[in-house]
Amino acid sequence: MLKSTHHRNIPSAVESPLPRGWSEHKAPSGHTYYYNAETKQSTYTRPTAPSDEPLQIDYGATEPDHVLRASMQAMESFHQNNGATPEPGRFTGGKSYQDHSRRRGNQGDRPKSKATIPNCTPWVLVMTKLGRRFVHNTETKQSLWKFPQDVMMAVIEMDRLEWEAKKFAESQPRESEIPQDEAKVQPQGRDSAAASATPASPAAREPPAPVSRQEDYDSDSYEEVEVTDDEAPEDEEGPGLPKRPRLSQDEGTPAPPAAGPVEFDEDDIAWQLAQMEEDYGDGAQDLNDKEEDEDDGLPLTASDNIALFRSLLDDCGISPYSTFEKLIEDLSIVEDTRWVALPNTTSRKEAFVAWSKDRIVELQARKESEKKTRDPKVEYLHFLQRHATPKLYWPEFKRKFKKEPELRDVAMQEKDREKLYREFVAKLKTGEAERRKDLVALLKGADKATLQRDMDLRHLPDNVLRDLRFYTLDERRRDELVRTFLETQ
Amino acid sequence: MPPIRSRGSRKPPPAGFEDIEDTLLEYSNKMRDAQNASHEGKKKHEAVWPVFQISHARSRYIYDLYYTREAISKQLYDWLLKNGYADANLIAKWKKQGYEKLCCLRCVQTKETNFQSTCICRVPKAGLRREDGGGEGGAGIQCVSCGCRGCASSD
Repeated sequence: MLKSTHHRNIPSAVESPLPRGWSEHKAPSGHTYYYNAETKQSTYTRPTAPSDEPLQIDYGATEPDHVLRASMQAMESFHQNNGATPEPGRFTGGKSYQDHSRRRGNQGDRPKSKATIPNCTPWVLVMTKLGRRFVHNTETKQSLWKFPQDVMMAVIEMDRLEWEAKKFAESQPRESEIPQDEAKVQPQGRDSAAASATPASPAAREPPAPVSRQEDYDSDSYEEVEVTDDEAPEDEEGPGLPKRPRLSQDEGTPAPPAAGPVEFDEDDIAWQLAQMEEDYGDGAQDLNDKEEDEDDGLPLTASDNIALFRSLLDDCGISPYSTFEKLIEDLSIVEDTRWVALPNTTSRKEAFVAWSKDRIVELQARKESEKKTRDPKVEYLHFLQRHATPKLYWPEFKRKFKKEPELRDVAMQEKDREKLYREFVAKLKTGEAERRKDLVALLKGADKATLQRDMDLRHLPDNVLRDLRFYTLDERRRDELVRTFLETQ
Repeated sequence: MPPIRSRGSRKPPPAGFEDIEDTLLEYSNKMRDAQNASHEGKKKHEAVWPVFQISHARSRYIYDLYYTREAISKQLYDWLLKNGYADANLIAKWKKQGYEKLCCLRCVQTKETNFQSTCICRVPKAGLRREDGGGEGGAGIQCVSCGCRGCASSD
């Protein structure tokens, strides 16, 4: 999930040239940062020159990581809330909504449009500004990121119809760029979105805390990169909406596959405006609830920042026994957005130590439970059964199989291995009839209570499984013999 | 001469060693590289700095594992100390107040120094004058014995 965003992240950063005045530097921690000598401004995000070329959306891309997005969103909201105290969101119509969004910045996600789902009457599908979708029940006033099963089916059906309609309606050449299977891709993306949005959103709903100020998701930077040909409707609608693709390009993450075509033409916008007007008319109250949920809770506490950082540690797959220095060596971790959730290296180190402590406790608990299932001696005897031969002396055998895990296992000592091998080979040298007799004697010697008629051979009592005599016969014949013995019990 | 005992013939290390084996191996590789590195272009005393630093880092790692992260057992910790993976004397100093970040034992040795005092790296940054080091507040200093840039607890 994370890895994928990274791989796409890095090349794009490499390709786009820095605007004039900006220079690239390396921080002692290994971060790359950018400094503008004229404005004395420094930022971790790569500044891009506002270009005139139309946006390029990676249609093959999957939806970006939601934890990531939530974290960026949360940081943004932190910047917003630093200056002014947040006000509860109000939806009173297009105009005030627009003002509202200006004041809060465009990064905060909020409901944008709503559509009724056919065959699923109380539920409506709400699209947020960042392209996430949730379902809202107009009767119970319940909003869910995770779609209930029946609603999900209805939504997929709805998406399919919508896409078919779009394909017929628009026969422009641009449309041909969109792959045919986009409709298929989209529900998938949303599935994962629905799944991952649930853990992401609680992280996004907490009160403020110190976050690194380096993240320069300034709302102004979105104003200036606006590139669209239909100015007038845009202004009415508010700056947030049609710029979403551009906005995500700015952050270096791939754009989420938008529900509609990426470039809005006038008809689309007019339709959407009408739709929104309608929505805000009747559904204002419902959306209001949602809005308050989302916005008032957005800033992060210290514990959330730590949780974000921990999720990064979990994702990067580093061993909890490893060192912090080792962690820093991995560039993809340092470049992750969650890395800057914590303001400095000291706090990161603390978080790492706490994380590693917890993880190790977990690991040890797991190991404790697994311990009983694994016995090095039994493994070694199995190995001998397969490979031991009277033709090889112990040193030869050891040399031949020195790379095998059974011979490298530190839990067993070399001299025990040697002893077992010698005994084993001595047994192999005796005739098969004798070995059979040995096995029967072993089984007879075992505790009768532990033997049952049709038990799995792996669940035989320990003293049988750990005995050399159990392994000296060929596996198939031994199994036959043991089974017949068990049946006679 | 006692026989050379390979790992296979020795008593196996206490449980939990396999978890930290990789990191320790990395340290020993680094140490080997440092030992084999060329001394050319270095000052005489500079040549051994990496060795001190790696040994410090490894001791710190084991110390952290046992005291901070509580990831290894007492048994394994003792075994590691006995087998030279960490410097027990240095760790003993770290437990004392004022010595929490001590870089090496030579830096607290007052004997056979010019002014019968400890190393420059033991001086808190706040107590250093600008002209003491190349940078601001004496930031440029590196001690002669191990290349430490300052290991006072108040830094």
